[in-house]
This record gives sequence, structure tokens and C-alpha cells, in this order.
Amino acid sequence: MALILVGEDDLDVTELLLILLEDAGHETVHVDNGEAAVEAYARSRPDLVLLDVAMPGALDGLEVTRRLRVLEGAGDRGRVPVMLLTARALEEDRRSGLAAGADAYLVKPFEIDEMLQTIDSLLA
Amino acid sequence: MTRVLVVDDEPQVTHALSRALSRQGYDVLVAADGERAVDLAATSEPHMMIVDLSLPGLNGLEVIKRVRTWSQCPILVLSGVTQELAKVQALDAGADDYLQKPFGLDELHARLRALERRAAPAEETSGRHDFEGLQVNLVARTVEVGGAEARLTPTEWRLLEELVTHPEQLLTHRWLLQRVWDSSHGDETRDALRAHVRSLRAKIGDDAHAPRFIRTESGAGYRWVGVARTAETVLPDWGGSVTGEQDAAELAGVGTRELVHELNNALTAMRMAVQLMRMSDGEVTEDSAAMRASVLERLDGLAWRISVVAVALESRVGDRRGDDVGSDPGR
Repeated sequence: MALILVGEDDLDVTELLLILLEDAGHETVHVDNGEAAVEAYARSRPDLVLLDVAMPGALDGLEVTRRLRVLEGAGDRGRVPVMLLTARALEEDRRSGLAAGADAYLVKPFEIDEMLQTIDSLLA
Repeated sequence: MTRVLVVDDEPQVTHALSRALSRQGYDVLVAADGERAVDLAATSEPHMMIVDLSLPGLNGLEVIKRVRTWSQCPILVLSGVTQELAKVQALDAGADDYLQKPFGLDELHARLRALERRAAPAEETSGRHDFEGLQVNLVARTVEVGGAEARLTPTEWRLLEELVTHPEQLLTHRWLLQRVWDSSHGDETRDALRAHVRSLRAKIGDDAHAPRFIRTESGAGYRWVGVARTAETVLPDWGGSVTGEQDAAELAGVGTRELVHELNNALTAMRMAVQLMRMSDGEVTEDSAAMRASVLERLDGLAWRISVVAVALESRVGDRRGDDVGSDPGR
């Protein structure tokens, strides 16, 4: 069982995602914007971070990922896997996601099994 | 804590500003003359500066010029009503904004917040700028006004590019002329600038008398005042009652890319809902029955949400086809 920080602003996606993750035996912390994601990361020390790229506010998923990597560099914690969820299917978007420090990148609408398997492999 | 250097020789002004800014959580430093201001700017590295133009000794304009040789910290200028030329010179020298005396503290705070936001902008990775009824993509070089593509001349493009990438910032005539035309300024080119702003306004549906995007700063230049939209503010509240026609109408001003994003979110949620139904198939507990009922209701809402977005997208496909016919000389 892992603690997963979920940053997603879409209400439908959020609710179903949380049920699915909890059903798979994980605990979740949810935020709906980038600033709150950075705060929640520092406060709750999750095992994995799942972020929507297009969140409202000044920090999108890419910027949150960059900041988490900076925070990790400054602290004593190991690298926490980050998975980005996005509706952007362009190769350049995928590259910028990975360049920001994400470990996995899923394009919406994605296969649920693929998401759960990716989470398992990132936590392994 | 944000450190602000206040440069003014009037003790009442610096005292009032210090108190007001400290209450807002700023760390305030004060310099009563130009030399001291430059010294403090170099030694204390303030995050922002508020500079009065009338200073004994080294004047405000000189302070700005010197500080700009090494620092990009936001500078807000305070000026009297009679200092129009000095104000323009200060902006050209590198000041970011100005406030005319006398001013209200609320406006001062708002200007400082705007300067802070600009000093730490969120990284723009896609080149997309979304405003109410207007979507600009600087990478793809497209402009959509109310969902329909607008065609701009190269000069109008450069002008729009400078404006949207410097939101809320006063861009002087001289600065714009240099950036857009790469030329020195004169009366004739300043007239040309006005003409291009006028035609750009017409194309993006703006009104000089009630500007939504480009505000004329009399005697100084132009300011982009378009309010950037976020996903929160543009999309209908799907949680409330849906009326179909009303939602489709609300989507008229939403960018096509935003709509596709919306569609993909709804489809993602739908897939998760289906997965949950499958997983609980055969379970007969009270919990799983309640979950199935809740997920079914959500599935229904999602199907509705998708159909409304599909209608909005379909009307655009119709528009695009109409454009193609009109622009194809072979037909």
C-alpha cells in the first residue's frame, strides 16, 4: 500500500480516480491546483505523485514536477516517482513532461489497467 | 519575505508607505535621496523598488538607469501630474509601471502584486494564451476570436506578440516601435503604430473606448489588460443542473484545444467508471451497490457532458468547412 498524492482539477476524473486508487489498496491525498500540490508534497511525504498537466493557477503539472525535483535536491529524501496525466498527445509535450522530471506520462483517455500497472512498476 | 526599496525624499510619504507595506507583509527599506537609493539597491538587492522621480541630487530617472545596468528587479515610479515627459522617460529607461500622485493604497498594492507576478512568471511551454473570447497561440501563430480564426498581418502579429507576452505592463510608444519595427521613432511611425493598433483591435474584437484587451495609456503607450482564463473560469459547472443549450452557448468562446481537453477528461472519467463497474460486478454488499448507483449516475452525467462538448465541436467543423470553400479559388 502506498500514499499517492493526486493533483487533478476535474471533479469527475478526481472522484473516480480516488475510488480506483483506494480500491487498489492505496491511500490518497487530493489537491486541485499546483500550489497546493507542492505544499501537500512537503507536508504529507507521498510515495508517488500523480499530476494532471493542465491544472488551474500559476503552477501547472510540469512546473510542479520541476519544483518537487528541486525540493528533493535540497532535502534528504529519495526521488519520488511522478506520473503526469494529460490530454496532450504531442511528442514534444511528452518530452517536456519527461524533461521536467516526470517518470511516466499517460495521455487521456488512457487505459485504466495501464495506469494501475504503471503505478505498480513505479512503486516497485 | 519580499523586500521593497522605497525611494522618496518626503518623510510623510516614506513613513506612510513603510507602514502600509509592512502591514501587507513586505520588508521595507527606505532611501531619501538618489545616491543612497543606488547604494541600497546594490547592497540589499531588493525584490522591488518604488521610486519617486523628484529627488534631490541624483534624480529618479538616473537612479533607474543606474540600477538597470545590473538589476532587473521590478521598478514602480511615483510621479506628479505635471511630469508627463519625465514619466515617459522613466518608463523608457527601464521602469515597469507608474503611479500618479496622489494615489490610493489599494491601487499601490494591486500594482505591486502585478509586478511580483510578472517578476516570477509561470513558464509558458505551449505558447498558448487564452482570454475571454480570444485565444492566441504564439507557436502555431493562430488567433481565434470567438472560435473563428482571425488573419493578422506580420506587423499586427509582432504587435500582438509583444502585448500578450507583457501582460498588465505599460509598453511605451518608443519601446513598441523599437520592438515591432526595429526602428527609431518619429511622428510618422508613431502614427503608423496607432493605425496598426486600431486595425489589430478591430480584428480581435476590441473597443478602444471600453477595452477588454488593449488599453491606451494617454501620451505614454499601450497596456495589455486581457484577463487570462483558467480551466476553472471557462467551463460550465458540470456539477450543477445542465440545460444543454445553455451549456453549448457557454462553450462558444472556449478554445478548440480546451474543448478537446474537456472531452478527454470526460472520456477518462467514463473509462474509470466502467472499470469500477466491472470490478464490482457480482459483489452484493451494500457498499458496492451504493458505489454502483453513484457511478451510474456519474456515467449518465458524463455522457451528457460529452454530448454538449461534441455539439460545440461539431458547429466548429461546420464553420471550418465553410471557410475552406470560401478560400479555395478552384471551387
